[in-house]
Amino acid sequence: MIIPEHEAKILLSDWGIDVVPTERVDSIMNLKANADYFGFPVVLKLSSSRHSHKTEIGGVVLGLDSYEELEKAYVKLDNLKRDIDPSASIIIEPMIEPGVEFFLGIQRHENFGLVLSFGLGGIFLELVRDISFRLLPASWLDLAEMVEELRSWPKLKEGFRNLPPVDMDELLTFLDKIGDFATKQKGLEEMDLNPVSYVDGKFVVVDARIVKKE
Amino acid sequence: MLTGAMLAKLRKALNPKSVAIVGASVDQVSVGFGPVYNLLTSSYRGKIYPINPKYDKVLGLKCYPDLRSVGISPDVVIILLNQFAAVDILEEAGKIGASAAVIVAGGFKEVDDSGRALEQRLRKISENYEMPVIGPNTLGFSSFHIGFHSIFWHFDTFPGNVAVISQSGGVGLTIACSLRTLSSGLSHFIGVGNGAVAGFTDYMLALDEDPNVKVFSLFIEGLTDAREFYEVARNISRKKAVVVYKAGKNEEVSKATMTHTGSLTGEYELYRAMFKQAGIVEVDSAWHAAVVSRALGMLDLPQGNRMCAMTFTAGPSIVAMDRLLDAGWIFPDISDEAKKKIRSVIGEKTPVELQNPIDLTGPGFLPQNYSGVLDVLSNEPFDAFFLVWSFHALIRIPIPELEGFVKCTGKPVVLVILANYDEAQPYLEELSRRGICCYLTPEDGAEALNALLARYKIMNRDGLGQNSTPRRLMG
Repeated sequence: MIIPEHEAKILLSDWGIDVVPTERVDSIMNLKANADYFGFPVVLKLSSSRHSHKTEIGGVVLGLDSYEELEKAYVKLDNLKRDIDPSASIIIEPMIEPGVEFFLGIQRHENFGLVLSFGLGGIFLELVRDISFRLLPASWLDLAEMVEELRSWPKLKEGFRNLPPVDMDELLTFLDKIGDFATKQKGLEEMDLNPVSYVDGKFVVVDARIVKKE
Repeated sequence: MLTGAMLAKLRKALNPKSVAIVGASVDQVSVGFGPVYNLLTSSYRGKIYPINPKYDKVLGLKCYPDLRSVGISPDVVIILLNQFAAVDILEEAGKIGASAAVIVAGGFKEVDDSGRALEQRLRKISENYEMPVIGPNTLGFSSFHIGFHSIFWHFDTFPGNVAVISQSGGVGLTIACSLRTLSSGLSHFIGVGNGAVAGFTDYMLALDEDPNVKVFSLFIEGLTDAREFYEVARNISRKKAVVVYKAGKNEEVSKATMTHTGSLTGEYELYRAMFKQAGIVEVDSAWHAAVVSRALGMLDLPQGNRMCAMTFTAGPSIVAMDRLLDAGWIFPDISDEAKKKIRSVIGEKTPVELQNPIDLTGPGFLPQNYSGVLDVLSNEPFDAFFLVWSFHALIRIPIPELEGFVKCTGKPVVLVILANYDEAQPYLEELSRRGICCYLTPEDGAEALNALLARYKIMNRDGLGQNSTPRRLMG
């Protein structure tokens, strides 16, 4: 069972994990009020329990800068929703400033049990495939070794180009929290957090996909 | 994983006081010949019961027509018959209360559906009688400290402290032969085979209190319960060294592995992460497994990462350094006082700058100079030593001096002798007897020391990282 994105984020947020704030919108009025609250630019997404790869189906519209663009995107997603999943929700989120983007995955593997994967996220995930793995539960030291296995870590910790240096302690705290969440969630089968953005010294989950056992 | 009662029986079987050999034969090229012959020509003191209705005697031992007529419950029954007959005999072994059985035959899950069904039947019998089974599809096992040399194949080794546990008989033998080449012996050899009943975790648990075992050297094709292996290995690696050589790193090989033992090889990346997390030293060849297992079995662990290298020919120490530095060794400079003393040994005029690695150049090959410098170094604050000696038929290897140095420092010392194996062989045996861990290439020497450092880090794992903010452990 796919947990719709906005519900997945509530689960994570309840565990003390920072997520990009999300609101469900069900009307144009509601839409504008939320855009005013978050401030432009914003993002509109379709949050569905049937389709978890929303970018591929056109269910994500990024960088909306005005009421006009917002309304247009809303209508588009509303039509898409009617076509593919009437039970889906449309959600609005603020665009967050670009930071270092990570990928974090949880998988219940039939041979290895609960596995945590972590690496460079966003478009780099498939391009450079800089990922490392650990079985959960993992100790603080396991997590530290996991991070140090990343080929890009020596540069990330120093601050690559104009990106801020990534703080190891902050990162381990985040990974530890995620691991704790994953081991204690009943029926968790899969979780993709991609990207997780490192902004202002904090790790923030931008997109979340959780699959639980029926 | 075996139940507690079955594990106790497996422990007993690995240290057996009696063995029945079903299918024992006087035909030299039959698998039924090897176990009886090997047991009789080693120092086994237990009772041996050959079983075969065709013979009254096998190699001078009374031969019995069937298991029942032996009249006791043997600690282990070795079954050398084909797969169908073997499973029938297994039932009989259960009935007479044998502790455990070895099934050598193949033809089970690695073949086809009917083989899978047969293996299922084997498992059922094992469960009914709570009798662990080693194999099927295996060379069997040997426990060398009690002279229990019972595999059917030729095997030249001597009692040592490395337990080789292998999913493939051939690779297991390769590791064992490589250890023999390096003058290292074995505590046990165990062919896991199909692992229908007992697997890697069971064998490690059965031997984890055995004082004769210092190192587990494993060859793994694939695991069917990687999580269970991880949990057991993680605990065991705190007590004994665990070295793993894993096959099936790419898909082509994974397919070959599947037809071989019938177990699907999982994703290699997950294996790698799991090995690391479990405190396992991973190696990438049978030879490398032997090199590393020998060092872990023979040497004490370093108490830090300060390495001192000494040579009289620069290159070997440079290629070794490449590997040693990668693994986390550091090469602190030697003290000014030591430099002065070394100068007085090798002569003021020797055109060399003294640093670490210490290159003695020309004067170094004189045994009295080499050992004189070793004396100076034994007082320097290092955690391990990497020594290079270039063999010359007319120049004595300073073996007694090296032995003295090794004993007096109490620190791990690896010696690399640059020589061809045939010339070096008699010296290798002697060095080994005197507790000097020696290899013939700088790369092997470096890998040996790297395994010691990895092991030191594993043993001090819980203490590491405490300098940063203390954190709770998860789960």
